[in-house]
Amino acid sequence: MSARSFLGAAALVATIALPLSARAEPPPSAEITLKSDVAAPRKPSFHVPEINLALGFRAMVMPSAGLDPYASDNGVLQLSLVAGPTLLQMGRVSIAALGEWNFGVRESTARNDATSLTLHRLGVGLESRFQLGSRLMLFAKLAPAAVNLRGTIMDPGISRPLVSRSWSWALDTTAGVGVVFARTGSREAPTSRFWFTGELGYGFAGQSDMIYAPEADPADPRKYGSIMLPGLRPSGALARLALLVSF
Amino acid sequence: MNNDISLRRCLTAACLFTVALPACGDRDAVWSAAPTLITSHGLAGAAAFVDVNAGRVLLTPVAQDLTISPVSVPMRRGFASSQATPDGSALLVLARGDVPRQKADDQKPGLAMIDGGATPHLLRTYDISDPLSGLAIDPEGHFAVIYPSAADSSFVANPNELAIVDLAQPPGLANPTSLTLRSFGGRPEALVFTPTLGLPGAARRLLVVLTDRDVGLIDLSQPEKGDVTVRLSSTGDRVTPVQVAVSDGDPARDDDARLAIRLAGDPSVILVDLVKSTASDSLHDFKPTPNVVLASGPPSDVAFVNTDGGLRLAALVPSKQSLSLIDPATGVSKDVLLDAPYEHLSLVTGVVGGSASGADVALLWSASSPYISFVALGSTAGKPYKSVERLQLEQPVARVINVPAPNDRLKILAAADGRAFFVLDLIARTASPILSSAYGVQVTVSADGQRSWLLAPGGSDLAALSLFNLHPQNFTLGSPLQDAFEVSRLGGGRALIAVHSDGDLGLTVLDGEHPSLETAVQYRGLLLGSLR
Repeated sequence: MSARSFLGAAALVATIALPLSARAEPPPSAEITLKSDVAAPRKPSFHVPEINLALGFRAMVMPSAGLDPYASDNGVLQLSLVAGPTLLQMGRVSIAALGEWNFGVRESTARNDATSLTLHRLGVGLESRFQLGSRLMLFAKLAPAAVNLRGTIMDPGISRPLVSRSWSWALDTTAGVGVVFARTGSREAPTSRFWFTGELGYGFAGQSDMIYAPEADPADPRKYGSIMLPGLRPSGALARLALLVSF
Repeated sequence: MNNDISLRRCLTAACLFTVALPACGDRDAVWSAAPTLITSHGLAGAAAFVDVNAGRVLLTPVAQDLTISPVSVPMRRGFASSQATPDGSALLVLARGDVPRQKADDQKPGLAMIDGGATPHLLRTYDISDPLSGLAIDPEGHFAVIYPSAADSSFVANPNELAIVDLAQPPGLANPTSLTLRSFGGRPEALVFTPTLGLPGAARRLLVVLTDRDVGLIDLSQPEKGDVTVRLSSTGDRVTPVQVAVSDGDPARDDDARLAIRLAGDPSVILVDLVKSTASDSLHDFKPTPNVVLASGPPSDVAFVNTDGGLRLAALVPSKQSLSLIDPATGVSKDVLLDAPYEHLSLVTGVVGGSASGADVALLWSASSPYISFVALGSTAGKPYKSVERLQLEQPVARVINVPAPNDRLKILAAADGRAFFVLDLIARTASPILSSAYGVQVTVSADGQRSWLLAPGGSDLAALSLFNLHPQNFTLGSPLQDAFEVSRLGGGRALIAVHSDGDLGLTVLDGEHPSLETAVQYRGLLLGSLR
């Protein structure tokens, strides 16, 4: 089993197992709360469905040779927007659904030609959260997505760019931690909570063929053939930092 | 308070980690390599582009629908030279490898042979012992010779070292064969491959090496035996050989093959008879026997011709406006007086037919006079020739381009300005002018002999000239051109690959037999494609 497959399987198992194992624990009793008022986590109290909105950055290391024409290193930094409701709460465990959009651009030169790669990642997912305390949570996430890749090359021999457009599948498997840094409402029953979240994981993806031809121009009736650059697989280790508001 | 400080530190570290994460890794150096130093070749089934900075040869076979399927063949480092075989069946790429070689995995010098058909691939690579840059290819495509060129600048070099590669055989201990020419102070200046000659012992081919003062003969069937040196001056005067003409003589005999060696600025021509060697210590079974014959002045071109009187050496002497016909057996010379200072001759007997006695017909042309002549080398009373037929052109001829069958009765004569061309019909004895509006026009003739392609490098115009009716079809491709190669298409048919000089290699692919911009397919940025 390759390292990537192992990581993916581990993350998947963690995502599924975490709520199950949490469910097997006895719910925190009032007695325990009274005896250990400081150390024991308070029972989270928020309404379901709770809406989650997150804004942050998704950083990915793509070792794919297909990234080489567009970047001098293997990294892609993307803007990340996530939104979705918390669907279910069982004690300290909750499950949230999410939809996300990640957007990133890399620009470079390939053999002296200006190149750029724009990535859009549109995904949905399930996030399982485990509340460690009133300010801390652990979570695991599984997020399948569709990835749109748009590459451009400015060839000096033609006035418009050579363009490649392609779609591919992707699957993010991540786990992370969230820390509440602000809230509104009471501590026991906040009306909104502001989190700082960080997560690590691995993103799987299919390879996209990067086939280039000049951008269509109605004024140019000539027939153009295509050239093929190395296929790009937008997969690799990833990290995400985000500000999350739950309300 | 401490918790807040720890949290901030954690957040800062997480931010730094996330931002720094993408800065991992490095890309392949080829993406930073400039798309320059491109050498292009036309092969039988593809155009080939030697992309030195990317360490590859990019080949572009053409499918039926005029799309190309680029193929990238890696080549060794230290590119030195590349040439297509005369029939376009292969491309030879000579590389010096890593100089100096310091590690076990540093590359050796080598000659790569790449298939030039519709499915290009690396056929084989011949390792050579030294990083040399000179490459000469046999017109029959059977041998290649690697030799030191002026570009080679080793600390110590032997300029007389050659490596002979038998391209029909795989690499091995005896292929290539390295040898050092026996030298009397000279170094190789030019290489001439002879056709198969009936020599004592067996018919075989020779490699004639012209140095700046003598000539070496190498038996290509046994190159390991080394060369036989023909010294051109016994008095110590330095003479420089500049041309070799070859005659096999009577096909039924193996002792009458001859070479004629023209000398620079000298009316003397050295005739070398290749006779049976009787010396017991000789490695070779033939022996060159040189004789000096005299033309009426310093000749500009020589060739063996058949006349009614037998084999003669024809030597064109522009300063005397004459053609000397020299009997190689006796050295007796007879002059044919001409009416122009012709500098070049070409035998066209195979097309126009000789006399009943087998006498040749020679085509003469000049780069300084606007005349061409057909000389029928029969004889009439009192004259060593039968007839001289002259045509006057508008301009002198700088280059003669042969046309393959079925139009081999034609030759395309190019004027020096590259603007005027004349399609010479050898049988009808007509010269049809073809004029271009641009100067410096390049002409290539299709391998099927049916058309020629004309383009002016730097301009965007291209023309197809039918060699059946001389009808030109003009196309404007919209981008400057630098080359055009006609190739076979996968599955049959022909295609023209027009190479644009702007950008990162652009091509326009046209139907070779029925060219039209409506069906043409354009390509851009090819040097970015098919990279690893």
